Amino acid sequence: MMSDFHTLHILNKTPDHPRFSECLGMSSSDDALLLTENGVLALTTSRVLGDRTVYALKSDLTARAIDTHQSNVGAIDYQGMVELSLKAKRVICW
Amino acid sequence: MSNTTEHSFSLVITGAPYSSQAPQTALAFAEAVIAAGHRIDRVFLYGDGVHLASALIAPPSDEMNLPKLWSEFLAEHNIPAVACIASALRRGLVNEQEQKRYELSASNLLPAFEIAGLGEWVESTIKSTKTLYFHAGD
Repeated sequence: MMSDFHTLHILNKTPDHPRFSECLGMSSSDDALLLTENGVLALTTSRVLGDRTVYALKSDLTARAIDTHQSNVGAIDYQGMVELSLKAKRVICW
Repeated sequence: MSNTTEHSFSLVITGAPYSSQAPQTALAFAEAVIAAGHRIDRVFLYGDGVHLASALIAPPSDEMNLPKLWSEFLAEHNIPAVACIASALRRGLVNEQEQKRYELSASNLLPAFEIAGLGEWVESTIKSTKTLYFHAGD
């Protein structure tokens, strides 16, 4: 599940926040996106994320009753977040 | 993925407790770092994040007491935590030394934290494997 990537973008903003689209604009196809906090709300609106490698924090999904079973999103716990951040060459927290 | 080498993190919290999720997310992440056998070099509080170091926050007893939970975590794992002095003084977070200096009526810094400049922040970002920021979501 955890493929190779260059930069990990940790995004905690709602999809309507200016930083959200800024983040998507700055990330390339060899990057991974980790949605946390209200960032996971992006998964309720269709197809804003394109074909990126997307992960989301399980506890934030559960807190907001968002189901990712039908999608390609990797639901991870905080342990997974630690692993992703170590795997990345660079981490950007939006 | 098992980690055989030990890595270290610096965490910077800029979101305030209760008005943002930042301190809560940061704590869960920090616990996972320790559980994975890695280290946290230092925790920095900057901007509104300094409110986390206040000894005067008293949430209802059925809600998370984030300053208390963070204090216990820092003490248990012997992790240094620094509140930025420029952010702290502007937000009414002072230790006894600053209380005396500015002749204030009280001090309110939790013992797990110190108030200092952010020179160590620069040092930590060089030394740590990774630096993560925990910002407010709005």
